[in-house]
Amino acid sequence: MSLRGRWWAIAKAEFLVRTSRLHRARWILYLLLVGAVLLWALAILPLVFSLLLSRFGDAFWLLVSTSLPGFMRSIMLPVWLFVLIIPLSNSLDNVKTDQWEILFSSGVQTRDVLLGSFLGKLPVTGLLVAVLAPLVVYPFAYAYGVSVLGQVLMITVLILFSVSTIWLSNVLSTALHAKIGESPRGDDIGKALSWGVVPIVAVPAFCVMYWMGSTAQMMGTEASVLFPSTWCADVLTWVAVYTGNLPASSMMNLEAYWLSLSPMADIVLLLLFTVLLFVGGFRAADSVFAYGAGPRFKKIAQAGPDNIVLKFFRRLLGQNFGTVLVTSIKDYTRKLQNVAKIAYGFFLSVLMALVMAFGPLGGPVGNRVWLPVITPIIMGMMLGMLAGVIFGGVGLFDSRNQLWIVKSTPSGVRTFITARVVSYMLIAIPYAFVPSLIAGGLLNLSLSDTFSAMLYVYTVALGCLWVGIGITALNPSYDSSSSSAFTVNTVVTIVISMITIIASMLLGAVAAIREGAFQLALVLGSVPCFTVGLVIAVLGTMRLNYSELA
Amino acid sequence: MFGSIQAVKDLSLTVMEGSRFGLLGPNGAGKTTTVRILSGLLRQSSGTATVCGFDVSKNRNRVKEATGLLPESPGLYSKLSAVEFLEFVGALRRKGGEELHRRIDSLLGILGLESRQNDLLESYSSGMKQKVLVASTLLHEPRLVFLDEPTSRLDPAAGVLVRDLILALAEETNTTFFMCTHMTRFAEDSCDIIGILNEGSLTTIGPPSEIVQQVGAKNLEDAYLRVVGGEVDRSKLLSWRK
Repeated sequence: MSLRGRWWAIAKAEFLVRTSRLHRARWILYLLLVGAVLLWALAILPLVFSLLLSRFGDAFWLLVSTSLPGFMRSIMLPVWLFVLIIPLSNSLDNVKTDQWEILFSSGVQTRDVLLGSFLGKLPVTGLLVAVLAPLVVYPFAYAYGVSVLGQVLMITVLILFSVSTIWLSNVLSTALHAKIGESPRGDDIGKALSWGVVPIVAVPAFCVMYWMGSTAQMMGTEASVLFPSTWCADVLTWVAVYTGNLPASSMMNLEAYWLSLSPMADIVLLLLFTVLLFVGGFRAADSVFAYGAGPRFKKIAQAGPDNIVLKFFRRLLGQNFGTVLVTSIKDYTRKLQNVAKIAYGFFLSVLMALVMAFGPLGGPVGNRVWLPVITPIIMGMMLGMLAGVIFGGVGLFDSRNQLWIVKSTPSGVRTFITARVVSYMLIAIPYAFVPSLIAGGLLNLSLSDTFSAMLYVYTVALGCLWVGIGITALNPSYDSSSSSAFTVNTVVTIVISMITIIASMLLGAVAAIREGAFQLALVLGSVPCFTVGLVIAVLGTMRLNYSELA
Repeated sequence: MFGSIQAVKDLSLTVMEGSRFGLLGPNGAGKTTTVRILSGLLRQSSGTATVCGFDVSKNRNRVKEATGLLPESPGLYSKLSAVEFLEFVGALRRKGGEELHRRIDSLLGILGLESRQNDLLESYSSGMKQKVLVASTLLHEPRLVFLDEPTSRLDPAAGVLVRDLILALAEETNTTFFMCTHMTRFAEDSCDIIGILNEGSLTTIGPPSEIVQQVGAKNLEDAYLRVVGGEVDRSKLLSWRK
């Protein structure tokens, strides 16, 4: 097979893997998908934009002639990070380098793997870009009256930038897979990283969503020129300005305030960035991605003696149940991915509390009456829904054989699930309390308000946690987060959690109005969530305990 | 039933207490399903089975108390050490205290894992994981032990160790062993009765030497191939190169 054949074969295999959910009709369905995306980009979006933007009238024109480049930079940053990080996060969720042995034993070079996997990813990630790119181009096209040639130029720039970003994401992903793939902890580290990198996208996305004005101002500073997304945004702005029908005064205004680099400098920077990424990736291929590069030392993790807390639980709950409970705590907390998920929950809930206090709704909620109400509700919603996914989903049983081991013991399932639930309830205490305390401190809530927020968030998190465990027990997904069972469980858990949380909020509101007692209302409000969660958890245990038909 | 595939059909079988029974058969013949039904993990769609005097349909927990199961593939907790995992299995079987720890130490010592007993299981090779599973199966001294492919991941020395452990336990404690295996040599050495399961029925049963003699074979592997029809046409072996 020629060298071209090798990367081509890898690209084809990558494409087949990425479109495996489309099964045998993948080519027809993929073409239909491309058609749908084209319809979205060429017909639906322009229509929606022209309808929406025409309603803003003069206010929109004022915005366009003064600050659109800033908004463009602000939007391009999260979009760029999204295209860079999300495929990386997805790939890290399933670190497997087994197939690399087959490739390298067939004489394939690392650069073939890089190029092949990149080209194989392009058709799918490209569709994502095709959905996002018009969102960036059309506001300009509409506002500045950009000519068709200008629009084509803008789309070309975006495609070039997206392709280089996908390449960068692929290089980083391959390097990380090579680095951690051989380790026995590789899968766990990969899953942890896949959660750990999400805030890189989430922070700018939240900033753009809730603090657009401040973000745009910040992106107008010199420092923002360091981001490659700024160069792309500015090139797009330049193209739009020069091929559009903006008045000369507005053009001068924009150049003076926003565009600190010349168009040529932006284009050169963007081209250099692209060329360096491709050349650097190929050059580094055989040295950076040193998969199987010879003997090396492996650090083997050991289990230490039980700490004082685990010893306490062992003594308190008796030798048998105590041991199963302590085992469950160790199994959960030693997995890096679980620590990353909990940290992600902390991060998101505190961020949401900040958004509620200082975001666009900051005015109405800023008063001392609503802040203690809205903070626990938002945090309960965020931490609750995440609790279902963090404690349910994967990890209840790592494999079917693990289930057999537990099931082969008398009353093993009941003991095991009870211990699992209790251990998760214990872990959920800091999970619910710490962000509530942080939010209480940041928002200057009173002690009693902070305490009732902690209690409410914990009870909602418990309810959702039980929902997650129950759903996973009803339909075990084991350790595969790419299985259809996992997807179904996640969706069902989130939907049930959301419905019960909303029901809780309504009950809480009624109780608050009728009784006039906020704390009592909050606690009462968590009852539906709590009850539904408990029922589903019991159902799941019964289902798991039931012997299947051979 | 798995789709259109029948997992076990007309199986009729009696295994004597204290014997070492080996169930042989091709992939998909229903060996694992048989073990799972007999150990109370799965329900049979029809028929009856009694294990250690208990009906598997009515007294699942009693069956589970009396038996131990070594599953086909290791289902260990990667983030626990061997000792922690065995403590966990012991706790599920309501065993604890000094006696449990003494047993864990002894079993890990016999299986050659004492120097790695505190390492997390994620760093174990598949053979070492299999040894931990063997220890977990024997921990509560079951009257009947189900072993599903007990030596498939073990090196020859470990295979011999497990075989000798089975022989010693059977002789000294009257423990009954029910083993599913593809390893005809292992079955020949460690089982006193062999049954060959083919297309859902037990086509041959008896002591290994008797089966070999009965079908006029050289050894158990040869006898197995003659019974299930797995003999290879050597002329076709290299036809794919043309």
